[in-house]
Formats: sequence, structure tokens, C-alpha cells
Amino acid sequence: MARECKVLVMSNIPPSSIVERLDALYEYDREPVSEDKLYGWKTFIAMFSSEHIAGTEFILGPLLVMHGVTAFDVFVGLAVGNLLAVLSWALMCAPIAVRERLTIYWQIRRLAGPYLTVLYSGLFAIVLCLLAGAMVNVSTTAVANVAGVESPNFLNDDQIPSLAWIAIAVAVGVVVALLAVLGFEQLAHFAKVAAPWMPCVFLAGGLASLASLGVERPSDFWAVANEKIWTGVAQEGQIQYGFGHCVGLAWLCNISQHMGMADVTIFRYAKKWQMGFSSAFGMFLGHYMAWICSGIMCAAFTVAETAAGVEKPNVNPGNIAMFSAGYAGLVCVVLAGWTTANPTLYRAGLAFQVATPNWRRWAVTLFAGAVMIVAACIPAVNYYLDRIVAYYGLFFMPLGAFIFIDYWVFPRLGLIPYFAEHKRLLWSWPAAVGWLGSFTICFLLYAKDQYPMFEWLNSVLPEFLANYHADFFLQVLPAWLIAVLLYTVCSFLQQAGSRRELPSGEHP
Amino acid sequence: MTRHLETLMKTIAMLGLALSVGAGFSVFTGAISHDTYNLLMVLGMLMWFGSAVFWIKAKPLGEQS
Repeated sequence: MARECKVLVMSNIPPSSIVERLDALYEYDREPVSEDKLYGWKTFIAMFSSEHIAGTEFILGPLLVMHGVTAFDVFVGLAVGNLLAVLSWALMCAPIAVRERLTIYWQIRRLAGPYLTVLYSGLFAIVLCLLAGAMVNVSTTAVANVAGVESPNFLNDDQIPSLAWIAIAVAVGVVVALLAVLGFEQLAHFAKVAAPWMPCVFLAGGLASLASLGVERPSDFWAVANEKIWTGVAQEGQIQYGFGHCVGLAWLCNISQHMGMADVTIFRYAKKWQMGFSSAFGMFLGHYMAWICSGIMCAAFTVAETAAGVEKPNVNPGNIAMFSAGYAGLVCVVLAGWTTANPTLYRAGLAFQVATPNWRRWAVTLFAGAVMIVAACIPAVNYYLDRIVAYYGLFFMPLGAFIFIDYWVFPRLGLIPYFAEHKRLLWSWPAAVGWLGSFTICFLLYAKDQYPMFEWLNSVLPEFLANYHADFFLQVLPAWLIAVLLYTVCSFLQQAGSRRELPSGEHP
Repeated sequence: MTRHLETLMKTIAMLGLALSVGAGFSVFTGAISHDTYNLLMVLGMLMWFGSAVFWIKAKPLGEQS
């Protein structure tokens, strides 16, 4: 009975083709997951362990090295950031997931209305194409290494790759797109098979690289780590990162999944909310061990190349994996990029489908694949991947924050949760103000110190805000607080207005 | 696949993983050369994929029996 009550009723919403198409896509998971389809710890541990070792780990670890963090920043900062991420999954995402047992799509639909959900899906699709492009780029560096084609070196001002490299990227991208069109069940199986092996390659590559950096015994490690790997000095042209950036990056990079609640779609199958802690296996294997090991590999490659007289070593996943683990390393790079690019592209195609009337799924997925291939051919995408991840995390997080507030806080404040569903609204203006307002405020606080065109803000802002020098990685809590504050205040206004419109004695 | 064959496949797969990590440790301690390490990494990879593909099952969420 309780489950039946949770089934969403939106049939009175005025007909709107884009909304109907989107609903139709997610129709099959419109009802809460039933008790007989729940899973235990083993499933979630395996899932998180396999999904968080991706091609991008070969980029983010080296980026921390190039941005000049110290060994303490990496070991302690990443531990703190990953712990915060695990706690966010376990204490924010999983408890709501097991109580509601609905996908993120329906959760957002209930509180924000169908129009904002369509906007969310469309923008999310674009970001997914960029991320899939970054993963194809990673795989291409490995294939190019074998083919003897030099990958673009962004540090050396290679803004556009060579024609030969582009041809390889297109070939890799076409394979990924075709597999996504054909359905990725077989590839999903292969990704599951590859998952336990990939962390072993990262670990072995890291250990082998330590030897080439001059670490002969464990007691040498800390000194070498500070002198040759995480030196505390940013490379030329890179912004200096520190402890806070490590914490922020580890916490932010999956924020759309935990604080942004996207993983309610996964945890709705969990028997208990405590299974949210299984995310620790993904974080501490993929975003701790793998980032540390890929950082070590990057430093070893850079030291070796510099010793060989190369002025600006071409640090890319293919080169560092070949240097650290040979052909097995190259296979790992190809698989890490390929197996994660495929489901990412599939999801992007699904999200794009709503905005392309009468297009067939294969055509939409190929279109998303074309966007992905273009992104893969832009070296700047991977060079600024940490920033892209931060932007996308902060942009999509607020809607998840609203799910949390609607569920836990609104009833205590006397507000009606899921008001858009309750009133059958096409869009929730408090959600729009909270979502876009939070991101805009955080962006402007960052941009006023970063971009000349926004410097004028310092002269009009109150002194305490003008003196606040924000970095995108350090904006998680401010963004969350601003989003929920705006959303709650606007919801008070909206629901107070709604009560006035009702006849006396009738409560909404 | 029989139970004995599955056990054999799992054993080969685990040995492949152990070989991969062990090769990294060995080159770190100086017990083997970098070339030998690269060779052992490829061997470990072949052992893993050659056997794990037969016993790791694809079972998407929501489709359990």
C-alpha cells in the first residue's frame, strides 16, 4: 500500500511533447523498486570498485603533480576529500534512496517539475559528451603511442592535434559510438571483467616508477615524494594548488552522484542505507590509490624525459602508462577510457533524445558520439579536466540538495515537500532560483578574481565579499548552503501565496 | 562450465592479478629488471582476461533472478 502511494501521478499535467517523450524514456522505472529486487553489500562494493577506476584517473593524478601540491596535501587532503565523499553518499544519498526507491529523474521531477527536469537532462547530456570525449582522448593517446603518432602536448602550445592523431581519435570514437548504438550489455560485461585488473596495473606501475625515481627502500619514500613527485611547486603556466584543492577535488569530482543525489538511482536497490559506505571502495581505490599511483608515474616519466634532454615532456596517459607498465599499461589506458566512455555516451544519447523530436535512438547516439569525438580532439578538455569536473559538479549539485531538503527539512518547517508534484506545476520557480542562483553567485565570486571582465564586482560588493577569494574547489559548502537557503526562502514565499489562494479551511 | 573448471579458472585469474602486483614489487626491490617486469605484466594480463571472462557474470541491477 505504501508503495502504491509513492507511485507518481502526473497525468493531469498539460500535454507537452518534450515532457511526454522524457517520461516515456523513464517509464519503466517510474515505480519504486520492489523488495524482491534488492541487493546486498557485495553488489555495491563490486559496483563502486569497478566504476571509479576510469581513464580520467590517468589525467587527474598527474594534474595534481603539475599544479604543485605537496605529498602531505595529496595523502591527507585526498583522504579527507574522499572521506567526505563517502560520508555524503552514506548519510545524504543512500538514506533517501532506500526510503523512496525512485530514480534521480523522478525525484527531480517531483520537486522541480517537468520543464526543469528537461533542462537538467539536456545540460547533463552535454557534460556527459565532454566527459566521454576526455575518456576517448585517453584511449587515443595509448593507440597513438602504439601507432607511433605523437599525441598533442598542450604545455607545448599544441592547441590542435595532428591529422594522424585526429584520425585515430575518430576511429576510437566511432567504435565507442557504434557500440553504444548497438547496446552496451556485452561491453558492460567486459568492463566488469577488466575492473579488478586495472587497480593492479595502477599499483604495479606506481611501484615500478618509484624504483626509477630512486626509492630503494620504504624509508626513502617520503623524501623522494616531496623532492621529485609532489614538490609543492607548480609547473610553468599552472595555478598553484594546495591542501584545500586536494580535499575539494576529491569531494567535488563525484558530487553530482552523492550530494547531487544521482546515485539514488543505484542505491534504490540497496537493502539498507548503510550500504552507502560501500562507496569507500570506489573512492579509496580509484580516487586515492589510482590518483597517487598515476601521480608517481607522471613524475617518473617527467624526470626520465627531462634527464634525456626533453624541455617540455609530453605528459599524457599513453606515454606515462607505457613508461610505467609497458604494453599492459597501454591496454589498461585503452580499457579505462573505452569501458567508461561507452556507458557515458549511452546515457548522453538517452538524455539528448528528449530534445530531438522523432529522431531514432541510434541517430541521437551517433549525434552525441560526434560531439564526443570533437571534444576528444580538443587537448584543452583534458588539460582543464579538473576545472570542468568542478564546474559540472557545482552546477548539478543544487537539485540534489533540494531533494535532501524536501525530504528531511520541509516537513519540519511546515512546508509541503515535492510541491511541484503536489500542485502539478510545470516548473518550480524556487528550484530554478535556488539552482541557477547558487551557481551564478559561486561563479561570480570566483570570476571576480580570475577574469578581468568581472573585476568590477570587487568595487560594488560589500568589503567582506570583495576580500573573499574563492576557488572553485573550495565552494562545495557555500554552494550547497546558498542553494538550500534560496530554495527554502522562495518555497516559503511560494507556499504562502498558494495558501492565500485556497478557500478558507482547505489545506493544500 | 563444471565446478572444477570454474575453480581452475578462478585460480588462474587470481594468479594473474598476483603476478601483476608481484612484478611491480619485484622491480621496486630490484629483484627483476624493467624489461622482465613489462613481460610479467603482459603475462598477468593474459592470465586474468583469459580466465576471468568465463566466470565473472554480467548481472545489471534490477535483473536478478
